[in-house]
Amino acid sequence: MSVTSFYFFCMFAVSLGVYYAIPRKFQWCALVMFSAVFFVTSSDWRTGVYLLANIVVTFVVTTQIVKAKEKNKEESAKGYMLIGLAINLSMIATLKYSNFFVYNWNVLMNVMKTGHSLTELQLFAPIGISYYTFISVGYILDVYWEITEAEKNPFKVGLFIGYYPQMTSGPISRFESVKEQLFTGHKFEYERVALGIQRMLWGVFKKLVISTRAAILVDAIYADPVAYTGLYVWVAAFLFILQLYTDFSGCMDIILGASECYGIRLPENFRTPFFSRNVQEFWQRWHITLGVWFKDYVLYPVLRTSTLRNFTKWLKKHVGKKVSKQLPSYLGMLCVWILIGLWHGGAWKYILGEGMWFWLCIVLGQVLAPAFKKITTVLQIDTECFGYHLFQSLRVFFFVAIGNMFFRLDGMSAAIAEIKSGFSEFNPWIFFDGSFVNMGLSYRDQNILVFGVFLLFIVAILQEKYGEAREWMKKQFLPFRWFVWVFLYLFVLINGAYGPGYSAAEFIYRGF
Amino acid sequence: MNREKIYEKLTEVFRDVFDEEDITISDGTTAADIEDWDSLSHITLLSSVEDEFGIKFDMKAVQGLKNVGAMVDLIEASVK
Repeated sequence: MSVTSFYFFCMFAVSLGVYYAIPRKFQWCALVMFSAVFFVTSSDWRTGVYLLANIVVTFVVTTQIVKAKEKNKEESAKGYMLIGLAINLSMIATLKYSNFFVYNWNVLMNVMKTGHSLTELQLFAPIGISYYTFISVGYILDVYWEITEAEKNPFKVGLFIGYYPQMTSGPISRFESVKEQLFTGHKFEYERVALGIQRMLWGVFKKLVISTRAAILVDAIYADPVAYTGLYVWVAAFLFILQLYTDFSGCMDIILGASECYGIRLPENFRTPFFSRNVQEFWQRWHITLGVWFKDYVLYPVLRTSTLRNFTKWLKKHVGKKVSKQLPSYLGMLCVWILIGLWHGGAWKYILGEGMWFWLCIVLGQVLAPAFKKITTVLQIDTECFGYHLFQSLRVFFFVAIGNMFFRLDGMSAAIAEIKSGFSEFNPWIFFDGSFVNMGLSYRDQNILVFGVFLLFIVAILQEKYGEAREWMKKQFLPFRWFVWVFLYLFVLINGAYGPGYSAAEFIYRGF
Repeated sequence: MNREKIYEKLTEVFRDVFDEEDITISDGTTAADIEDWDSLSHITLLSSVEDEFGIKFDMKAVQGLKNVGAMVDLIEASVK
């Protein structure tokens, strides 16, 4: 069940009715029930066994960690923590990465010219496994580190891990920040529900009006790399970012808006990423909860290992202070970025394009920062002026576009060939001779796409200024507010790509 | 070790880690007040503080320290 499907909105409406009709102390039970319904109707119900196993393991080990700590048995607590992580991570490793292992094993055997090759496995990873595994791993570590208390009710642990709005695409929430909201009942408040629904509508607009139209051009260009060269390649690369952003952040708007209707505010995943001045800042504004998860549960523990700390001291003594501060951090970041690449999928193109490429951009950005500072000082460039900020943001956009070509295209060689093709020809006339109409997007649809991007830009400016565009909207007088929301609703109704005979493409990040 | 003495040593650590001789810190100083204090230098800073005072921060402190005042509280409690 996609979160833009008719059935989802039906289920959501029923769940909201039930949620506010029953006594508040039972509201979380209703969410458990609707989460189960959502899972069963969204994927093969048999894969639910992995989710159940994850919940049971997480509940048992966290309970045991607490008991061991109460008896001052630190080693036992560590053992339970490691068992929990091992079981939960081995499930995702087996279901998502077995064939990546098989592929690499077979390549190695080929190189060594031995006949011990393996056959690919036919395993299906259940929906949302990357998200609920990370949520449960974070919870186990938080209990072990005493950042949060362990929940004593297994059904409440189940709800935290399998809460249906965040099940398929995140955000990756932390127990400490959502437990009160999840388990304490909420009184019906018209304004909160209205704001939630408004946010859902904006998410649907992004997905059905913008993302689906951008996808048509992207698919057409990438389907024929021989015919579409030169500037076509960059149009596709830039449109793919637009598609990905409106798809993923639109999905988040629907999820966060739906959750808000229940009175549960999940963490934000996006904060106007295209206003970023460098790639590092971009990743602090894009898929925020994934970045925070890797920072808290991978980067910090890695940087604090005795091996890396001793290495830092050795560097300080033998190489110099500056290198001793930078090199260990860059090594820790490399581990994180390889894992972020791998999180996107078991293939080298993800490790390279979504992982190491961004690591390289960030490290080079930091290493070259003093040189850039010198250049801007010599040339007397005001780095705070609008023009320079625009230049920096476009530079980030370009680097992100390159990385996402690996994400979108089939294999590393296809992405590299496409980048080369982008530099093979200069053909600016494609913007004026109607070339894009031949790709399945009529003039009308092109205009709708441009209008959608314009609205997106206006909202992004409001978000940058007020934190939330809705805050600005709340201050406007009633007729204007109603005009905007009714206009948006009708616009989606008329121009959204949905309905019988049309199957809106799945959310890109739903597959993880 | 009293709070004043802790601040004296801690200021030296901050100046060494962030390579800035005129850094001054107080209870309310946060990462937002020091230009280079990001998630990476945060770990370098904590490791240097640990070495200087002979203490060890747990992960709860690593993730949750809100400002310099909270850091000094922890140091004060650990070196007593």
